[in-house]
Amino acid sequence: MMPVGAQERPPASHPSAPAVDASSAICGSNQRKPFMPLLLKTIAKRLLATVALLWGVTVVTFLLVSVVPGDPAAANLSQQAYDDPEIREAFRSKWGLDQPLIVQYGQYLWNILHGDLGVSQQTNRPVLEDLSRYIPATIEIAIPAMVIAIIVAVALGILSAMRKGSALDNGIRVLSLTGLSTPPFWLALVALYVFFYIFGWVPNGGRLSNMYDPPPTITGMYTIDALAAGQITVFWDAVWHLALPVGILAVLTTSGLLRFVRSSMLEVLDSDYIRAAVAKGLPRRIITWRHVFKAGLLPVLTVSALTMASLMGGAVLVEQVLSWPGLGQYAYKSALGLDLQAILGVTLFVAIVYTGINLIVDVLYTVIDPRIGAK
Amino acid sequence: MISLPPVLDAAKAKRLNLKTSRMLRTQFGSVWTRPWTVISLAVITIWTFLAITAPWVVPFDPLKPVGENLQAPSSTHWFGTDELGRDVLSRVIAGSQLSLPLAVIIVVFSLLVGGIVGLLAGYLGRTVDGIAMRLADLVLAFPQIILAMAVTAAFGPSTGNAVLALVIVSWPLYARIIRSSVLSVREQEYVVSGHLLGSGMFKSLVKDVIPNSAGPALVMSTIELGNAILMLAALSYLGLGPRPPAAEWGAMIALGSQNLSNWWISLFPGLAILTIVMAFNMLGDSIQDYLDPRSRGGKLR
Amino acid sequence: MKPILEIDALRVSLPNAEGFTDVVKEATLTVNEGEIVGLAGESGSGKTMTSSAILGILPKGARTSGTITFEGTDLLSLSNSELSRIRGSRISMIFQDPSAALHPLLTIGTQITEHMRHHLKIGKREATERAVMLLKQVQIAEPRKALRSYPHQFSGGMRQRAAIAIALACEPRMLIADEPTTALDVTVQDGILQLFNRLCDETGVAVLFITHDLGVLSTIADRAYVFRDGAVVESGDTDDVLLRPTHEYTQALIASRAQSLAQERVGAEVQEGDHK
Repeated sequence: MMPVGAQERPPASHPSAPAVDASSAICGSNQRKPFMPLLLKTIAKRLLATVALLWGVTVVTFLLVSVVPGDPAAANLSQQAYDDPEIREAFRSKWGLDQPLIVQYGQYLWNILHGDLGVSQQTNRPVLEDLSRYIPATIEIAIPAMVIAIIVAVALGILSAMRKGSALDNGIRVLSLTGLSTPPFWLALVALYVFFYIFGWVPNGGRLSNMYDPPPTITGMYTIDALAAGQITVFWDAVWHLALPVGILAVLTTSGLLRFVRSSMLEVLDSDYIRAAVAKGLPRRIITWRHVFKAGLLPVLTVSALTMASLMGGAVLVEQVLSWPGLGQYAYKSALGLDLQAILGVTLFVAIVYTGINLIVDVLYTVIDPRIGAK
Repeated sequence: MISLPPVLDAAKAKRLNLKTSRMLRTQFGSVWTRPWTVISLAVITIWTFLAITAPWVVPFDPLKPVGENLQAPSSTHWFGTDELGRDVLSRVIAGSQLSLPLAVIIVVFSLLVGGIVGLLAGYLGRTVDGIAMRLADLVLAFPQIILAMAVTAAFGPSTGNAVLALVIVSWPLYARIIRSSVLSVREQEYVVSGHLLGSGMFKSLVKDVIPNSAGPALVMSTIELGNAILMLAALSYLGLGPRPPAAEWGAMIALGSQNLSNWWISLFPGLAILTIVMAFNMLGDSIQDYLDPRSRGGKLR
Repeated sequence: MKPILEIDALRVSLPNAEGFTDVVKEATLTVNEGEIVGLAGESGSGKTMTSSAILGILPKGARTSGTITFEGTDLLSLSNSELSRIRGSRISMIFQDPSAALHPLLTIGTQITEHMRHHLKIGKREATERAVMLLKQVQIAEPRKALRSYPHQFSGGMRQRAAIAIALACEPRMLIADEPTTALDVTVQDGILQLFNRLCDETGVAVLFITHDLGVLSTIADRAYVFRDGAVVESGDTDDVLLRPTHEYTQALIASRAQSLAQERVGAEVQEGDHK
């Protein structure tokens, strides 16, 4: 399923192992370019590309929402209000919808650069404030899910690859295939039904039980904030509410990641240098952890980072089912209501995260892979 | 084809390994000995059959109330009835009539659009390539569902717009495959003939690109068929796809989610999706295994 | 001449769709101490499979019969863990493509010392010193710097020299060199061949040298075996095999080599003409 755990989809524009320069003989100080300037150069280049991409994002999203037949006024006003031309015009001019497109866009860009993401039509709050309210909720489920997914996927993926063809391998493959083929919202429903309705082990959605008030806001994540405020019972209640959404997202993400880890490891296992390592008589333990693990992990790093971004997509559906007031729900409601400012805000945020992760991955690559940067 | 002198041919050395691999590849055996491939083909065939013959196969009219509301599965209604008294089994079957053809349409159009873009990008190079790939990156910068959601919401929820949205979201994948195929074909031609591409090259390029990219494109298309079904269901679950009272699996799941105790309303459409998407994924895997010269024994049998 | 490796009636079968295919059929050959024995033949003739069988690194599912006697033991009867004590320490292998056979993310130093430390149970410092000496032996300049480098920083010829150093690390009695010069530039090949000769003279290590190139064979091998379709069709002193071949296959091989040499010259001229 695309929203989470992207199947073995290669990332947008990442180098696979760069072409090795076969003609450079070792000589002098030709070890590796001086490190720091190279790192900075990489970062600078990527930042530039990121900014360009983000700009493109604003243009595209803006166009998308503006030039299409949907009328925000119709979507946000009741039928009566809409029928009244005065109210309609008031709505339009309030939101600047009566200005020419370029002007609207220019205004929007100007505001962004000043940190103003506009005001949401549906919540009547500044979008920035909305985001700061909803983003932590999504992060609170996305990050634990990601961590769990990486650990489980790497462990099972390596296991599966090393015992390729065994019953264990086939079983793992079928399981991960199932996870990938399941509609996330359906899985959430089934899980809710089994674990809440039948067993009563988890709450019926939401972030906190009704009897508790949210802890004073520091990060926006109830768990951390409750701990910081010393509200232990609130903390545990929040954790209890996290169980189901995190679990579901983890399962979904693991499925996709697992396949990738497995195929990455298989490629490594197939390679000549592993065969050569065996021919050297090295013990299996050393081969597995020093040779196989290291080589296979690089591409997995990229994919892990990228699944973080698509995790947000899966969050949309899961949050719906479990009434989790996160970015996904906000995005959905904004889309339905054609809430231009909100949509743009969400899109921008998502794009920033995605490209930011790309950047980090690139940097990590430069640090980890000795082949990159050497002349 | 100019044969290079064996002494200087390092590529031939690679073929040394390949011949052995080819020998090992034949142990892959006929398609029919591999259970999972057979199962997935069977499942797809069954669903295709259902999709085609749905109007005649359904026990009840999927759009009309035919029994008491909210009946649990029984001998008359194997999958129970929904909140309007409609037979769930019939609706699940009818859902295939919607989802499968739509998925095919989505994949075909994405392949067309992506293929054309990829061809142009690879052939014309430089600026066109740059623009095309930036555009692709842009699209891929979004989680699929969010982008699809935005497009559908913007254009108005309907079946057609859902399809449009999914095509918009998917074309970059095909574009990249076709483009890299074009690039590698160009490289080969250059090496062999030592000429720069002339005017007659475009036709032969297309002729070469198709077999070259057929494999990966086929694998991707198969898997994307499953993905399209998932996405369609997601969109209609969110109310952004085919409108009621059409029997679409995602919408059915959404209706069933209103009251958890009526589990059958959501369960069966979900199982339908699960089985068919899984079948597509498995099939895609099998095709990939078959095409990969390194496939040795021990694959998912 | 005392034999250190005796292969007797070796048969190697690989699984395929219908059952098994014999890729090596009743191969018999001997390698004596200190000599360089060439295995010649076209691709797929079974020479690589034979050498893989020696070290027990055949593809999964392969079946073998016959005997491979090394230092009094039948290698085919050993378990994997017993074999791993021989791999890299008593018999070492040098692969065809050093770019692929060297681990891209480990330094040369690690790749030379790791099996040394495992087999010889020596410490890091001693292993490093030995590694430096090995690199000098294979004529890699600035060995200490080389130890800290990664394979991609070397040229093709250098990488193969490093691979040879790795193979020699534990002072094995025999080297198996599987087409070690095929992936290298012709200009570099000579240097590697000379290196082999020198090492053989200096250390007395025996070499099983696999190649499809008769020119290389004549340069390096004392004795030679010619493989065809998994069986040995000709054997003897290299001079005898190449100048007085008895089997028609060998004769054909030599003839086609002469023809391709001529083609090479024509091809080179055509290329030159193009550039004019």
